[in-house]
Amino acid sequence: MSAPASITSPESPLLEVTNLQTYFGTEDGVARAVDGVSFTLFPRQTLALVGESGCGKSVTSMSILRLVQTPPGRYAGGSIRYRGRELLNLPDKEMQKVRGGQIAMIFQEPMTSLNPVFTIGDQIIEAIGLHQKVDGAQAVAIAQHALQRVGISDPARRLQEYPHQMSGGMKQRVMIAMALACQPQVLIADEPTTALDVTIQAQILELLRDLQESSQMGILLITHDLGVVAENADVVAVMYAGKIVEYATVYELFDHPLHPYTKGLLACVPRLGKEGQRLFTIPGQVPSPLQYPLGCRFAARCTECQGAVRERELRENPPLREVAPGHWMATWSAPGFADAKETMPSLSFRRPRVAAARTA
Amino acid sequence: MNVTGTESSVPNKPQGIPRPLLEVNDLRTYFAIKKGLLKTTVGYVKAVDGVSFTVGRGETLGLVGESGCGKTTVGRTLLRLIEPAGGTVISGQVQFAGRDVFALSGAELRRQRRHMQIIFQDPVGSLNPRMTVGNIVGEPILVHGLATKGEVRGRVAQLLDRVGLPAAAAYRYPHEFSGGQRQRIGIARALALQPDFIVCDEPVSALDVSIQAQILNLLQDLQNELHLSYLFIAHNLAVVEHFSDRVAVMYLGKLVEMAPSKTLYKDPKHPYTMALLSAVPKPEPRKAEQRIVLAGEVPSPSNPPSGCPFHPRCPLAIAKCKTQMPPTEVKGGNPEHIAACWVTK
Repeated sequence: MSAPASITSPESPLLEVTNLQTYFGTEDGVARAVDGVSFTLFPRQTLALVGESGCGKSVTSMSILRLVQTPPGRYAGGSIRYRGRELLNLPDKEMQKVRGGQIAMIFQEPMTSLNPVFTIGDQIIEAIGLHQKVDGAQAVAIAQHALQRVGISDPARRLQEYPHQMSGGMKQRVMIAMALACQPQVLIADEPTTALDVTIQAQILELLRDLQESSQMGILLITHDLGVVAENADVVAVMYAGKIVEYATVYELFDHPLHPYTKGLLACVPRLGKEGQRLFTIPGQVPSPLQYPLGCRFAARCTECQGAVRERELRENPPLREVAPGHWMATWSAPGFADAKETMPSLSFRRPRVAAARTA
Repeated sequence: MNVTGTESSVPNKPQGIPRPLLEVNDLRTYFAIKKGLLKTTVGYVKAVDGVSFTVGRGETLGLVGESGCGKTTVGRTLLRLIEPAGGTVISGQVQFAGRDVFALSGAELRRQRRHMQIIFQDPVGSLNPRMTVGNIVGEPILVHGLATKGEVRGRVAQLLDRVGLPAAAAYRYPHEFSGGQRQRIGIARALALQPDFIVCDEPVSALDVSIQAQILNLLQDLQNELHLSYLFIAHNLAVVEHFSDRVAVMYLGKLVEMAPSKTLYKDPKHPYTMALLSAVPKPEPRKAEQRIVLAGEVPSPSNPPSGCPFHPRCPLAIAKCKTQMPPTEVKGGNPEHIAACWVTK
């Protein structure tokens, strides 16, 4: 799409992932966990990668930071560019500087991501020391400031505590503090609130939104929760069986979902206040990455394509095409699909922010 | 005041109103906190602190709340999976079809278990990995002597079919199945004894959205077909609202609100319920609503605040709330809707 830029202006992307393929060698064959994924993340933008278990979203996020264990995994193809710089062939030493310093990540289970035998202070300061040349006292000051930024009161005392002394919500705040201590440009949040209670989830998501406003950071949000997507994302990419099947702004996706899988997902989420006896379900199961069917990977669970289109669907997997300006999707039956182009999915859209009402 | 869902506490009930299947009265489960070499009891975690409710035949009561509120403990205490031993104190009354569940023992208790079953949250941990599915589902039948070894296989096949699994699944092991399928196995096992009442403890929380929908529909179909009653314990409010007839909200061991499902959503009367509903992320991006974001963490149940346990985080708290626990009373003139709050009407 755009030429690589060394200075990030609001319109030049932070991350450009093009046709990423991450495969795993197993006893039963090659598992094509990520099989041709493309998207673009801009500054101060939240891109949500949505999908259910096994769709490849977590492997995608791990691939960006080259955290996939190789072997048995391998980056079989495609490119990941951070501010114009290709990451997939970067020497390890350089990649270490990127990890944490430029692109940081927070994980789903804060209880297991923090080392139980070290204090919080030890862990944050270690992260700081890896990326910034500061002495002990400076590192402590940065750590305290980082905790304050994420709303943790009495940071000096907290730095002395161990993870088991903290609640889930507190630990996740610590994870965020650690991730942000070195002021990364991109934050990858892999299911950051799934393990947390709903009121704490609301706090954490609001915190991430506030931090994004003040820092211009781009957030790649991995989740399966469509409610979280609706309230937090600017752009949404829906993943299924290793591929992106729909890509649009959040408003467009919820107003006009086009792919049958997206429609199915939206339909089977129970909504507060909505009457209804039976939930809509998508029959069948996700195909195994070891044995993707020939043709469209969603065909077995879908009834939209009929007749000649159905035959094509069973033979050939539809590519991701821009069927309407700013709306990409991958299904043969979409109106205008035949003439649509396979452009690089890229949207610099950011939604207007509304602050939440706070209690004391 | 003992406000229940389907009857009043007046002894002379009008004819035709059936007695609820399950009546829980002032249930308390306290876990002892032990310190030191001699393991002396220094205090109690008041996991369940005076909870009362009923569940009618064929009805689903949803029980919601966040971590540490006591909802799982309620379910397990009812079924006597938690017993007063090792310092644990249990008090209150649980009546099932008129029988005092806490007074049962031995063979009587075992017979009672046929009527009250449980489905667990964790489809991995709740199934013995070393038993075949057929043995897992058939074991309760054999233990209770409800069929001979020869007959059990047929019964298991029927149960597996009813939950949407092939008969051949009986010969396989749990690890060979997906999360959703394992949950179906758990449901088949719960149905094996033909119970009247099932505690569903977060049965779909660990499942993907599309599989959740399949399992919830299955549970609903089974309820209609077999006239089952459910205590549906979960933290996902949208799921609970959809699935339950009435919903009870718990906070720090106390029941803070209870109402018919639709009423709770439309007109919550407890500030915690309001915050909870507000916090649920809704799949509607254009609704930029004013969200109530609660400050602070949930206090520890071993050291709850004085008065109303919610007062430190409550936007409506007045002076009285800090010192006195509000009683559960009828709100909005609807006898089916109760809440424990000094402020709301």
